[in-house]
Amino acid sequence: MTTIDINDKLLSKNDQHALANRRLLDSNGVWCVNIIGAPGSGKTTLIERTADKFAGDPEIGVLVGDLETRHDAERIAAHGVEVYQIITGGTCHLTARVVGEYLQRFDIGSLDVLIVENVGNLVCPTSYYLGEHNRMVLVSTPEGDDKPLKYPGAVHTSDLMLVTKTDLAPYTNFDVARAGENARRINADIDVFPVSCTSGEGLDQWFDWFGKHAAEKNSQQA
Amino acid sequence: MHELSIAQSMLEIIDLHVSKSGCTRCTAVTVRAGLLSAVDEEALSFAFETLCEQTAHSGAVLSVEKTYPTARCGCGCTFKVTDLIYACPECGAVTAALSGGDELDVIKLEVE
Repeated sequence: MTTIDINDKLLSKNDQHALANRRLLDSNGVWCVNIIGAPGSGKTTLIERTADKFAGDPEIGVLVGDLETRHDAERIAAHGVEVYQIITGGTCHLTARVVGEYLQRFDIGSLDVLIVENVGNLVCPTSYYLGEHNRMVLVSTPEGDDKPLKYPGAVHTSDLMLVTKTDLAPYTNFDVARAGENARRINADIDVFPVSCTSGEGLDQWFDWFGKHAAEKNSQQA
Repeated sequence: MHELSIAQSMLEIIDLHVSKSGCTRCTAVTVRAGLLSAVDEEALSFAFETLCEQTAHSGAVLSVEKTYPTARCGCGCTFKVTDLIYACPECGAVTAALSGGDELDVIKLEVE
C-alpha cells in the first residue's frame, strides 16, 4: 500500500482548457461573460434585449447551452448576432473543453464580446470555469428572494446578480432589497441590479455595466 | 448531478497516478470539498462507487473532508461559517466577507 499526495484541484483538467480559452479571448481582445441562471430565469430574453441595444457595437457573439433543441439559438440569431447552440445531450453544465471547440467556429478577430449562456441550472455550472472574464447570475422574482442562500456557489463566483422579471414582483412575495442582502451574505462585493425585460425597468444600468466591461477589455487590447 | 462528471474527473486522476506509480489499483481517495463548492457528498459517493465498479478500483473508499468559509465582519470579528444563513456572533451583521470554503481538491490516493 502506497500513499500518493496530490493536493491539486479536482477539475484541474477543465481549468487547463479554460485557461486556453482565456488566452485565445485575451489575444483577440474579446471580453467574455458567462451567464448562469435557472431554467426560465430570462437568460435568452436578456441576450435578445442586449443584442438589440448594442446592434453590432460592440460586436457580440453568443454560445448557448441547452440539454436539447436549437430554440434559444434561433431566437438569438433573429437579433443579428452570430450564435451557436451547444446541445449537451443531458449534461447539466458547459465545460471549458466544449466551449473551446465552439470558439473555433467564430471569426474571433471580428468579435468584441462573447456571451456564454450556460445550461439552465444554478448548481453544476458554478464548478466549471470556462475562461470567462466575468460571471453573472440571474434570479427571477417568481423564484423567491432566498434563492441566493439556496444556491450560494452561483452567487459566490459571480460578479453581478440580475434580479429579473421585476414586473412580476407585485404578484409574488419577492423583496428585491432582501434578495440583495441575501446575495451579499455570500459575496459582499457582488453588484445587484433589478431589471425587467418586459417593462424595460433597470435595463440601462445593465447596459452600462455590459458596455463598460466590453469597452475596458477593448481598450486593453488597443 | 454534476457529481457524476466530478467523479469521472476523479477516475481520470486516479488512472493517471496509478499507472505512473506502477501499481494496479486505487483503494482509497481523499477529497476536500468546501461548503460553497455545492458538492453533495452522498451523490458524489454514489457516482464514484458506481463508476469504480467497472474498473480495477472497484471498492475504493472515498473520504470527503468538508471545509468552511471564514467570515470577516466589519466589526472586526472573524468566525467560521458552517451554515450560510449566518449572523456575526458579536454584532449580528449578516454581510461579513467570506473567504475560502470553495475548495474542490484531490488530496491523496492509496494505491497498491
